[in-house]
Amino acid sequence: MYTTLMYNPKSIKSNSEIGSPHIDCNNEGDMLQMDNKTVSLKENWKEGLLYLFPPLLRETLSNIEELPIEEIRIRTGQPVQLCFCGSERLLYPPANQTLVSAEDCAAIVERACEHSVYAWQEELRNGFLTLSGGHRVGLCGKAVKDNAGIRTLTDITSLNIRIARACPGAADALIPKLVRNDGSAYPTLIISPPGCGKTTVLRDLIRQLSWGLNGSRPMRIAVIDERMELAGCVRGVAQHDLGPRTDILNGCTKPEGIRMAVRTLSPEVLATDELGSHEDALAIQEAAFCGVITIASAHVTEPTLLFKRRVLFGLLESGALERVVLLGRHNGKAGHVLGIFDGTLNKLTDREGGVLCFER
Amino acid sequence: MLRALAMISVFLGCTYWGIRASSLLRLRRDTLSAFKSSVNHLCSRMSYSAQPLALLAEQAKTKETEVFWSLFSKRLAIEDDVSAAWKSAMEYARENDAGFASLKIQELRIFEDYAKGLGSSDSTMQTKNEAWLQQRLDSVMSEANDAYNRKGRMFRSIGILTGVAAALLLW
Repeated sequence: MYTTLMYNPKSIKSNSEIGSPHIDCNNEGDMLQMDNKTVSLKENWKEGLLYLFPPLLRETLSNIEELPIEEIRIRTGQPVQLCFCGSERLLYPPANQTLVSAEDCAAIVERACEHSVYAWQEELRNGFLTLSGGHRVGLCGKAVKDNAGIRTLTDITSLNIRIARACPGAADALIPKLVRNDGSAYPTLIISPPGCGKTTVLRDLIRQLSWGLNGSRPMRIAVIDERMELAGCVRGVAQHDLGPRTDILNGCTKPEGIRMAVRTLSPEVLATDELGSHEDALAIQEAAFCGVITIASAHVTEPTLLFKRRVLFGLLESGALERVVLLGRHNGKAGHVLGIFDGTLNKLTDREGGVLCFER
Repeated sequence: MLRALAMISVFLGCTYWGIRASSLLRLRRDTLSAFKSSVNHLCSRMSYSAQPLALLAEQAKTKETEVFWSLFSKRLAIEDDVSAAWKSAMEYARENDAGFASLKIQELRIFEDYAKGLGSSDSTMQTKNEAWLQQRLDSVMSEANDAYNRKGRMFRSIGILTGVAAALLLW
């Protein structure tokens, strides 16, 4: 069995304290009571992921009971790192046992590819694999290049397995502020530092708008899922529920996807993750001129930094985006709305500590 | 009466032995040929289809190789690696199918070497792996074909002639 060590940025905790530090489980299995709503965090990741690991690690992980694991990081020759919300844990193998070897990493990738590496070339080229269930495996290794750029990754040295967890209701607190009187949505940008729940909130926002929940009217949505994270499609099957009126364009670059969707899908709303480039902004601007509402996310730590990111600020100035939602961590917990702003970055909400959308 | 029955039995027994020895050689040749065709089919699908190996293996089967590919496809979901799945499927096929049972150890080793690279690399490498297998299979098949053409007829003739000779001796 692996031996374990818990590391918390604020304090070192003993193994007995490892448990679920900030989530109160009730007696109904996997349901968690949070901020007047119940969110299912069924730990089905073990079913979907344990088969990937070498036998010793598989056995150890199957005995992990803490809720909820965000990431499993595996590095050649290093202990396995389990990332929880605001804390982490290192798994060391027993003495005289090999740590995770290069062969183990290669075997994990091979199993993740269903022994069909040839079928995942595009994903390997992009450095990640999306598994059934929406889990993502980020890859690090030796890049093999050709004239067209990176052809594939070989000699995998580390893997970051990010466990997908749907949080239905994550956008409940946001919807009333993001919907107009006629039920349509404001063009919205969700911003936060990495790991604060942008994608989770955006995903639920898409689902709710598609169904027409919480005061919104049902709308046709086109999702441009460049990194295949929003829908987590595996062979054309979305692993996350994005609603009944949602079309998903996978693996396509945002500018191309946006133009293609506007031309062919006649969406009322365009949704995409991680805006950043000038071309992205230009395509969104064109879509806005066509009357299509954009809902997107971006890596920005605070709204004032939008002034410095001319590409994003230009969208606010032109009216292609009218609302900015700032997500962040409060007391180390992700999934808090720290503020909702209008197009001129005036704060529309003022609540100390933010509104809890979901917790992980 | 009893002697006539004994003569017929001896003749039939010897002839059966000869035909069986000959048909085993034919089975080996046919199994190798069918296997080559299946692998060819599998690899061409790999190059244009992004389907998983288990599914392609199921589609690659022919009448002669069905017992192997069906089990291999199922074992892929259970075994940790392709080689292990290949080995267990081949063992099962050899126990349950005369065609696979007729394959020689050196031929099984060629297949095992091929399985080590199967599915674990990109389509370019898969094509190279297949080309390597086809090259090895060509020489093995040529030998199997020769063996059938020469020894197959010989075993049949020996069987019949031995049967006739033994029957005459019993006369």
